[in-house]
Amino acid sequence: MLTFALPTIEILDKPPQDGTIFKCPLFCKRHFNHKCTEYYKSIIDNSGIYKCPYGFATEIIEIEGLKIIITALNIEKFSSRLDVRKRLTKNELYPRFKIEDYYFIRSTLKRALVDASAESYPITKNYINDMFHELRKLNAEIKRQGDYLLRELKIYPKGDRVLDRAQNLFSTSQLISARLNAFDLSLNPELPFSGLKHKASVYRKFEKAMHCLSLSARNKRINIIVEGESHANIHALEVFDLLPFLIIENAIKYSTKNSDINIKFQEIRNSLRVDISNFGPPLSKEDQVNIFDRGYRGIYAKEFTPEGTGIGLYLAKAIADAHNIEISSFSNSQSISERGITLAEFIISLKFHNLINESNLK
Amino acid sequence: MYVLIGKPKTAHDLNTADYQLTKPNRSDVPIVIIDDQHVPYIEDLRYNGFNVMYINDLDQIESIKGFEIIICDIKGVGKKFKSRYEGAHLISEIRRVYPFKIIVGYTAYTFDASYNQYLSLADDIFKKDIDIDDWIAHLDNAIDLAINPIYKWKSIRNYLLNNNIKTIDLVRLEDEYVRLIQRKIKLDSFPSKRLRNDLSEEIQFIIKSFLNSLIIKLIFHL
Repeated sequence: MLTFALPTIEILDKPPQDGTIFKCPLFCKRHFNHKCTEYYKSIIDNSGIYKCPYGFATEIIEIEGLKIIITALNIEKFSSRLDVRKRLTKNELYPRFKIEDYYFIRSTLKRALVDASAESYPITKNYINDMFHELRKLNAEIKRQGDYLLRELKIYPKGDRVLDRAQNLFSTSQLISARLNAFDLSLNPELPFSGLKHKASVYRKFEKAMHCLSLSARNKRINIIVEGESHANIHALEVFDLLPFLIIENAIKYSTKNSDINIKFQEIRNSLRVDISNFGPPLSKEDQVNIFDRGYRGIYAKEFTPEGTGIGLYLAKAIADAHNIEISSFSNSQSISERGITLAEFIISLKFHNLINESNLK
Repeated sequence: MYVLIGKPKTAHDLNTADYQLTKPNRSDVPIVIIDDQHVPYIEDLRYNGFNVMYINDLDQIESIKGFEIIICDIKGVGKKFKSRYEGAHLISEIRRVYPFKIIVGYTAYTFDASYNQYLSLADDIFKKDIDIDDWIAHLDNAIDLAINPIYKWKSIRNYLLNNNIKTIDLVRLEDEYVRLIQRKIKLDSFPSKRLRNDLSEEIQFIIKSFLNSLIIKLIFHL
């Protein structure tokens, strides 16, 4: 959507919108009525400057085939001085333009609009496309070098510290990939959910997410403890990789320093249950209902940290739904208060029902 | 008028069937990667047994005839075809000429919905910055797809439908295909002479090119 320096009409039966520099007079917003709509309908087809029934000026301009209505203007010789003065409140600073000054403002605006609509947009989009392509490519190279370094350090050890640094390098590169994948998913959700499902080990995907987030966990001195094991496989889209990542990342974000995150795997007959628990902000009754909604952040979560956009668990739920995985959240009713912040055990539970049977290939 | 006695078999009957197909070795399946820049891990993939080759662009689609799996970058390739969607457009061209090959899009552009219509023609998509474990998993998956008799049937079924095959002939073809696999009989007698007589030359040609693909020969010992 384009924005304008002066007030404009976007829909003929709706009041004008504020410009980015000049606000629309309150009168035009409050008293917008059918007379105004009829007026705009009568002038929309022909470019030029007109006077509205209440004394303000309006100009219709056409840029790249697009009609733009600039309105609520106070222009010498076009607006009625007395009517406009009567309709502005005391606090409204709304200059009366000389026609040449108005044309100057409008021509600057027109140039900016032409640039924005015809040239800058595709350049910007191509630029972003190229940048992401380059970013993924460079990240692939960092990941590859990190991977080789780790392998070589296992053959020719240089001490734990060097190994740790190499591991951090590799994990950070995995983290960049995961972040880019989450960004792709939020921008273009159709593609990741329309692909082909492959055999994926749930346990290995969790292991990978833990690797990826190991540096973030270590920075908060958080210990990730895994209980149980599973060889269960499911048919998963590539986007499934993000599910353990988003949940563990959420647990790290909302854990106190020096605490534990527990990941428990339980295979029960033909299903698998994975519980991810941490000690962090509890869920209120309202949170319980809305926690998987886009942009929603719990009351205690906001109190705990200003970071967070309320997207992580929303995406996690969307990924779980696409794989028929039951996802639920609950927190322990017993909470404590630490330095004025309320904390309780918080659990995200995943139930996998559609586990894979063996293949017919030898 | 046709009368079918009994219930025709469908590809989904292969889901529960007690049959075994030969899984080829990684090295049996020729793979080509089309990328204008250096492909990371190519040596590691070869070390892991994949028969993988790398080319930096295509002048003509027919030059990839000998490959069963095509991995195609989205950026910087397909320049001869002069589409602004570059490699994404190339995928649609390869799909048009070789409808039964496995095509994988290899891209950093999965955030941009304007590529979706092209990428949806690929059998799989993976991101540019995956690690070696994911590369191996994706290539193994592509091989699994190439030898999956249900997936292979679905690809030819859709193609035949787009080429106006009569529904009754498609049902008969599918029934024969499934029965031969279930009985572990080679596909060289597919379709039977009686059925072949009812098919147009164009449809017979499509089936022949499907059976001629290397992967079909490998898994069905033709």
